[in-house]
Amino acid sequence: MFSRIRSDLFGALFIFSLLLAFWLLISASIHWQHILVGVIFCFILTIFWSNLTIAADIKTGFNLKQLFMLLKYFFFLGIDIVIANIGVALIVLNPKKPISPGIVIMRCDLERSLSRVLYVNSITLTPGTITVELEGNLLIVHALTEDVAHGVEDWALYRRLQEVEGIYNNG
Amino acid sequence: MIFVQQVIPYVALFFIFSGFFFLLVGVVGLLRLPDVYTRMHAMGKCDTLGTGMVLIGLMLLFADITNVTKLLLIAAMIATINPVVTHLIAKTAYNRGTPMAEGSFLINDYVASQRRRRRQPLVTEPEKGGDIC
Repeated sequence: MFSRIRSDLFGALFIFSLLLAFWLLISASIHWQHILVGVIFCFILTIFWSNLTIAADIKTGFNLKQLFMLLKYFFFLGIDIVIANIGVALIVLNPKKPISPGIVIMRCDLERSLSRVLYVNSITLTPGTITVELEGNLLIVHALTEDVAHGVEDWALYRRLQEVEGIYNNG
Repeated sequence: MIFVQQVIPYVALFFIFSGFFFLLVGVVGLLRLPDVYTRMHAMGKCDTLGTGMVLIGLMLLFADITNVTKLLLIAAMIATINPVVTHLIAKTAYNRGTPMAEGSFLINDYVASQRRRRRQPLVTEPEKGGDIC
């Protein structure tokens, strides 16, 4: 139970402070009894779930540049979602129904599982495209119109994720 | 300050009603579009913006930190669970061979991008080196 914490003290501290921040936000008071109860429970939770929340072989590390790039990624993803959502709403409400659905088979060269999940989820979140399958580096996407399909093939956000992954690999 | 307090409920109402509009568009799409996959486009997607906008409106109405935290957590859960379930439905339908609407296209970019990749190192590597130096 303690071996993971001993091997990665910084990760345990990070999870502890995350839990404590959540506790303070929810309780919204700085009375000392609240804080004491919160600290005790966060401590117990960190120790109790350490073999789920802390990886055995990877040390927790921070790269501020990577965090900044991820925030930028989420910002542009939000803009993309709003624009594409309005596009899908216009297609649905158009009385002529100008759809031409189809399947795109393409490559996905991301290697880290977290960035793969992020990429696939943001494809699905962006209206007009659904990820159907991701196996190895084969990615199957269902698109609502042909324009959207061509847009997915070289997407600006994919390059952003590749940059994030490059920083991770170097540092 | 008083002016801001008077305006905020109207801004919140704007967000909530535009969220309702997108949810309504989702339902209309569910009724109008031809097959499973396209219906999922309408339903699963207008949910993300529709629910998101309703939640933003509620955040403006309950402007205190505990409720805003809870609403933000709800938004994060919707934004992660929604695409996963949409992907699962699409994957199951695809693997069972559910027929698509007539006139569906198929673009296979896999082979072409493989070729492009094979050609890439010869062309781009000298340029990259130049950029860094």
